[in-house]
Amino acid sequence: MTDDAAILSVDFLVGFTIFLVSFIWIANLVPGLFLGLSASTIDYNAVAYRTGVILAEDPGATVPTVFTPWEFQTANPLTATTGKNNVVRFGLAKSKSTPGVLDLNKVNSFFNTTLWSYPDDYRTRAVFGDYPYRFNISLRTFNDNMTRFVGDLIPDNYGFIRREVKVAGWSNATIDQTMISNRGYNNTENVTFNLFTIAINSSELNYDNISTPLLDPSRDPAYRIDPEWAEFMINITGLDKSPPRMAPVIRFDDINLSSVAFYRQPYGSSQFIGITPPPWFQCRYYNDGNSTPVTLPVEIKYNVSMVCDPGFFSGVAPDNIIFINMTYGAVDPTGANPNYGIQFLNSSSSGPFQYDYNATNVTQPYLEDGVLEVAVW
Amino acid sequence: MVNRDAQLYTIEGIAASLIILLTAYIVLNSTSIYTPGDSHINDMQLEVIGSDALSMMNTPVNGSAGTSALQAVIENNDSAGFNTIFSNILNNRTGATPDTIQFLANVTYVVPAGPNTGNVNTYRLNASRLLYGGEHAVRVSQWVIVDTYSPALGHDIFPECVFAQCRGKHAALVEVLLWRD
Repeated sequence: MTDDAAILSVDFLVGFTIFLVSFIWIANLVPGLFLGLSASTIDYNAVAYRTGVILAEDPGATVPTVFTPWEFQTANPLTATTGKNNVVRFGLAKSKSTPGVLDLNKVNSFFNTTLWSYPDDYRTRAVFGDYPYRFNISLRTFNDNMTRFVGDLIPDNYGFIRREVKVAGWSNATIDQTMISNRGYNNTENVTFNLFTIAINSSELNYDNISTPLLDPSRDPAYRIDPEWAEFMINITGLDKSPPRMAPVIRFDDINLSSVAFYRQPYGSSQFIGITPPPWFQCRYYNDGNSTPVTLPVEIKYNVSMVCDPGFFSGVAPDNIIFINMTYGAVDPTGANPNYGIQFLNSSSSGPFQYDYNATNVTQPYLEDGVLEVAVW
Repeated sequence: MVNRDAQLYTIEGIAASLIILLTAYIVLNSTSIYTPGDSHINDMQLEVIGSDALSMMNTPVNGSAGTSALQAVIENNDSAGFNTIFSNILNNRTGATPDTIQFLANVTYVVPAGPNTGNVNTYRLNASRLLYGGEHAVRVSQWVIVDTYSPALGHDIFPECVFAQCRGKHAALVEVLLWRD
């Protein structure tokens, strides 16, 4: 008699085979299901976010015993290696209280890849973590349409964050013909040379009012002109046009800027002390629109510009007044008395030009739009 | 006794298993399985960008300007200006290709004077396009202090106020919904 035992066996065999094939197939698909949840991707995004916060919202840090900002630690070429070791954390924000407003000195130093080597210097000071991440950090500013970057080419799978920022630029002052006339900077006496003085009142720039406790600066740090670490640019224009005020006037072809001296006056003191800046910070002079700096003395027909590096006044205490004394002489093609009747810059009767927060004196620092992107993998 | 029942069951079983496997294959290979683990990262990135964009727009460009771009567009009721500035900040990238983030911005305020004092009202500042039901949007906001009487327009910027009765500095909340195309 026939029974159905064999048929059951075939059913079992077919069913079990299908089950096994399906199981293997499903088992192979499961890891792909969790691709979006894989630890590395989440970690990359988290690290990119952290790096973005550090760069956009933190001013950076040095070892506790060092007080010079991190971006100037490498300024002295003799101690650059020690200086690099002093930097414990990069950060581009101008101050802790101005997240998103970046400092141009920090930006320039951070993206200087001859100064800092990719990836080691950046990994230990900005990205952090035990895993040897690779990354690409880029910053684009829109007024000058300039893109700075550091890092590798970005692969397909990476963590990412974008921060909208502003980059605080420098102030500059232009003393033009109108200002020279209106303020009497051409109101000279018959002197053998003319002295024009520019005053940078550090205590006013730092604290607005010296009666305010020194540890409580009142001006928003985003717009503060820091005498120690800001670049100073002073343009004097229209020197050929300054109208004479006093007769008789003998017009000479050119004048010259024979020397520039720097002094400081401590708060509450009448003493003037000479400033000797470190040799790696300099002031450069440009005459008549030339782009190449010149050495003094230099002849000027139309205008002269002085640009002092950030850090040039870094040795001056934050409550001192800085005086920049520019000495002008005359170039005398006729052989006559070179200094008689010439009208050009002299602040002896009008008082020094004040480099301050008055927008009519100084073009205030401009906050330029920018975007910072961090990609980590 | 021999019959064909078992064979029929086997064919049904195979057909059913193939349907189940096909369904599983289609589901598992569909391009986007939206899991909470994915969405919070995209939302976070969008929130950071939007929050930064509002914050930067509310930062004056220099110390003597006094008024930020965000204050200026509200005080002058300049919705086109808001669209231009905010879209630029929002979609700017370091590369050449801009992002494609869409926005819808509202201003919410408490009526400071007049018969409706204390009422909370909202008006549309601008939108890059309409928000449909299927969009996954995040919300960011920024408080801004505005002079509610606009000298440029010559009238109050909140419609509930008339005859400069709301003149002075008041707080307004700019709320923006953001989503990607």
